Amino acid sequence: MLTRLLNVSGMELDDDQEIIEKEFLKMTKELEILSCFSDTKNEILKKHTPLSELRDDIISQSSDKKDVLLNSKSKNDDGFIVTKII
Amino acid sequence: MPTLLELRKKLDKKEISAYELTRLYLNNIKKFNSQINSYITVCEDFSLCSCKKAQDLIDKNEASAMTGIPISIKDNICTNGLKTTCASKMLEDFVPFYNATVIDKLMKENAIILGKTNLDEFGMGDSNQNSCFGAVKNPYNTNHISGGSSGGSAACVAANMAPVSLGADTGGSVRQPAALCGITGLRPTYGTVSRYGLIAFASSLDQIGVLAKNAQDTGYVLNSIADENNDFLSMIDKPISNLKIGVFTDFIDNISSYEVKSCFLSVIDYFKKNKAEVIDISLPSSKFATASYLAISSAEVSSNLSRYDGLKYGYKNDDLLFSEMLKHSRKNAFGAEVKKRILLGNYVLSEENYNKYYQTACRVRNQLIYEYSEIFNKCDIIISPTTFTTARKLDFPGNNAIQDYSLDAFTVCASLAGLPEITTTCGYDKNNLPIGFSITGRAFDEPKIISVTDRFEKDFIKKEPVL
Repeated sequence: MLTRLLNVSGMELDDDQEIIEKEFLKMTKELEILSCFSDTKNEILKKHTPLSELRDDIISQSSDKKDVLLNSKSKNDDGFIVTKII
Repeated sequence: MPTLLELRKKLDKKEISAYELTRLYLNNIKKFNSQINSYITVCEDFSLCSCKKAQDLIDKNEASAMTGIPISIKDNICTNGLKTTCASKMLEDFVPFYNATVIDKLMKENAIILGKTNLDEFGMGDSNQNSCFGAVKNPYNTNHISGGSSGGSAACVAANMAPVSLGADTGGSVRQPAALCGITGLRPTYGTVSRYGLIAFASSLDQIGVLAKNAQDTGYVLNSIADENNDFLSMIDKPISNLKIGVFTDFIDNISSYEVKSCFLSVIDYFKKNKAEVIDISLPSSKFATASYLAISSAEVSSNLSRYDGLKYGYKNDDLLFSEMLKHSRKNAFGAEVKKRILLGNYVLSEENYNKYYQTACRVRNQLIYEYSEIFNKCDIIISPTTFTTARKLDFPGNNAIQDYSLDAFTVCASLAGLPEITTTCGYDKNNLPIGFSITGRAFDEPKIISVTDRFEKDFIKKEPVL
């Protein structure tokens, strides 16, 4: 993960593995803050349906456009479909 | 030192010339900048040359609002022909060939640019200690931080090295240093001021703001730099009785500093005495606001800063292979905080983490926007402390992320929702360090929050720092 992260970031921290790991560990505190998102029981985090679920709801409601949408869905499985409906 | 409106009157009545006024601030810069380190670049010759044209217009009674008024600019806002470094080695020698829109607007009115102010590198930080040009000191006590990232702008206004400054606010970078340096800082509604020419940090959060001695001055400058044709001072002197003011009572319990808590409680008393109605409100999603801000801002940082590859502009390491040049340039020229945020941004955007962090953060953001809209159905404005504590010492031990991000905890909510927020001083701690509070308004309701802050400031006497 760390090597991939460094490559994507266009960075080279050091050749020494120990130093690289130490740099990664500097993010530990930030990851601690982000860990609150793991509270899967919290109602707030469940609100606002993710786009993929929203798309499926809309498809199920729009029965007359279902065939077209399903065809579109097979071609392009992302938010493009929702955009088209709107 | 007089306010901006007072300076305008003096200039128009010819009690002082543009040259004399500019010289006054340049002398203050020579006296105090070595102690405070507010400015990265001081453009003495350029500013004095600009005075002639400004004075000609004043003499012909053709002056605009900002004609002959000195102003300093945060060094991540592009100025044609003038170095714009973002306090980073990456852009140490970068000279833009164009002005930011806000600069064009100020130049059109013949404002006098004094120089470019210090900041945390690329706007990332809340102490102004992450600058490759050294930390900015708090004018109230030079052993303490100025706050950030617009620390240079806040400190230069507080120390009378400029009557007003432009800063940039992402998660609190105008409001927090304004609170810690005892001045007024305004973050307008997202989209009110053009971001063209503002070197990007997190594009969905960045907004250029104004730091000045008081609320009226912030509105005065906003009139010149905003994209809308709006008079942001239109509600000045409107009464505050019958105003409905929301207060987050659960936030108050989390304030660790007794002095900050007691100052904020006295602000609530002030509004009650003036017959405003104080309403208890809550923002349930705020407990996730810091995490949401961290995920979204670092994700956007990782994208925005990918342009610094050593190829087109900025620092370049001399390597023969492009891949080596890219890695070495970014390794050598970015500071530790910037590197950390780029890594974090790519981490939250990675395939296995995208839903868990970034998408959840976006959902929290939407929920915050919704909760704010519910609050503004029953309130006109919201007041809150700006920070948990006053400015910490420069050599504060165990400078950890939780401590750092806690300085932003109050300000990130309005940033995520794109709402306007203004900060002003409401007291001082036992070490004479300023304590600030913030007023949040509905989107595009800057006139109201400026007017309410102005009313408060007229009944509160601010102390000047002793340098």
